[in-house]
Amino acid sequence: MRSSNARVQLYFRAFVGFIGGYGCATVASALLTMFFPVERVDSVLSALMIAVALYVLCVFWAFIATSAVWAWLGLLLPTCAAAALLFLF
Amino acid sequence: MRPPIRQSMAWLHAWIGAVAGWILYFIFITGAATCFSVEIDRWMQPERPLVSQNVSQAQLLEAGFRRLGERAPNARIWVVSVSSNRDPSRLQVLWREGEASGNSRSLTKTELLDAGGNPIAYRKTYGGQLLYRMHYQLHYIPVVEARWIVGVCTFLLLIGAITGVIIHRRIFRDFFTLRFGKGRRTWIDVHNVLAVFTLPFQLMIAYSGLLFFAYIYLFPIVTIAYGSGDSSVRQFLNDLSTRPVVAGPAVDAAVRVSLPQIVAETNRLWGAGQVRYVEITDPGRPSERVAVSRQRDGPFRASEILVFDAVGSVMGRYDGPSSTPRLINDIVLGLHEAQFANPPLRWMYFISGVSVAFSIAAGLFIFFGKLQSISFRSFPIQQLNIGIVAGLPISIAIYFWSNRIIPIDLEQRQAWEANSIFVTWMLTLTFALMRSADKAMQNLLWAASVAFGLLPVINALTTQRHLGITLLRPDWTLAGFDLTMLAIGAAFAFAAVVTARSEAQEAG
Repeated sequence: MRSSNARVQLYFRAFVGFIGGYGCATVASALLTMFFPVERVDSVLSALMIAVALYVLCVFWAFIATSAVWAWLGLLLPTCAAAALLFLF
Repeated sequence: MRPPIRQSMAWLHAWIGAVAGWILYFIFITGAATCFSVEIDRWMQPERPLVSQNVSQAQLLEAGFRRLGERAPNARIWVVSVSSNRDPSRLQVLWREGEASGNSRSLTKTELLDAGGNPIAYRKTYGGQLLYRMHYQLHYIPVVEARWIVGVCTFLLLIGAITGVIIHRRIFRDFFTLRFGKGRRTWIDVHNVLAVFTLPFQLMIAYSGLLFFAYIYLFPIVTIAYGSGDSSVRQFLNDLSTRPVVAGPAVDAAVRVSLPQIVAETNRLWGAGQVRYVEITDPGRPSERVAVSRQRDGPFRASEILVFDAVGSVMGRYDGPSSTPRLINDIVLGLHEAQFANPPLRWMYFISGVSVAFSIAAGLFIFFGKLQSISFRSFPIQQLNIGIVAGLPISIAIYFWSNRIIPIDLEQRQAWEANSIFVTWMLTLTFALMRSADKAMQNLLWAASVAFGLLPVINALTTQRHLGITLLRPDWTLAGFDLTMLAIGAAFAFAAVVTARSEAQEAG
């Protein structure tokens, strides 16, 4: 049976991936499409389409990251950076 | 310190199956049925006339206008709806009295008409549209919460499919491996073959499915662009809407043009038989606006619209998506709904959907088999799973049975048809809990075979739309339904025999 340490790792990474991934994917896509020279509705549509794919990638990132801390930071830092940029613009 | 990739992917894959498996199974079974929702509608309304080949769309529309003129001359909105590519003789009219901009559903009345414009008295039923609605908003649960549940499970499917590919070591060789009579190994092979075979379909369906309500699931994106609150969501949907905005002066009553003439003008611009519905605002008044929507023959979800005023000049139009993101959005959503699909393509969607459902069922069977031997020694959890998985097809067959058996004049009979699905499901679940896993599987597979196989018989006993009549016409929609039920019954019988033999082989 899996050791309890490995199990905690998995639960933690799942939590980080799904929760952190949601934040990262939504904010990063919103930032990305803000700079498209299109109407507002089009930038939202593009952001939504990109965000779904990005969210999937974020979840996998959380399991591939070399350490639990890096899994968390790898999602938190881009989220904060994107949120800050969005706030500025 | 990172857990080995294959281990974490396998853990994730199993967890996702456990959490979302049953709901995804339900979504794919009802979704597959939705491929034929219009055909199911027709079968569940046997009072409608048999198909007649030689009525043109223009004649149907004219009959609809005439009926509305008699029945609701003072209504604010008229709609005449036909659906040539799925159901050539369907003619539905709707009208709303009172304020044209009101939102109250109960003010809208509807009738189904025959080719001569006479109303058909048909039994109240949700028809195939119930299966369609349940597929994305379940049943009994408030709509918003249900859509969230479906959305989360759909996203989990995306992750689950990809984790499945990653943990599958020899994916190409294993695709050609299907060993029978090996118990769990056989189930794993079935799960793999069906899942890999439908992998592109799964990815397309799940991704496109998420896009329908992505603006709800990923609400921060809408909030960032439009601001927070309901009004901003409404603004977004408004911006997305393809309804041409038409405002204009009222016209002189003396030069009015009749509705059949507007249809003729539409046929001149689009070709004959291209109308999907005609919506008339303020019929008969100088401010009349006639919006004509086109049949869908390509994957674009939104169809072209022409808006005429009372003198027959085009004053507004929608010609298709006006930007690339909207184009992509339309195509992706259109691929999910496949409204444009011809019968062979529709069958491919159906078979793919059912295959994914069976793949999930096989996975659930493997998972609960393992779980039973590890954790739940005193609780029959595998039987719970069998009752749920095998019970759903039986419940859908009973839904069709209930359409023929529930008395026509029973108050709210359509709600009782819907209830029959879940009552049956509860019964199959309870039954399975009382049996051993093998017996439960056998009994329920045979029950499904009987439930589907006897449906054409019940049809013959209760209506004038059974195979004896529909094959002679031939009315392929109705006959096809009965024949498909027989085929599904035969398939379940085959499954019952194969699993019995497999178990004997494994035990012996």
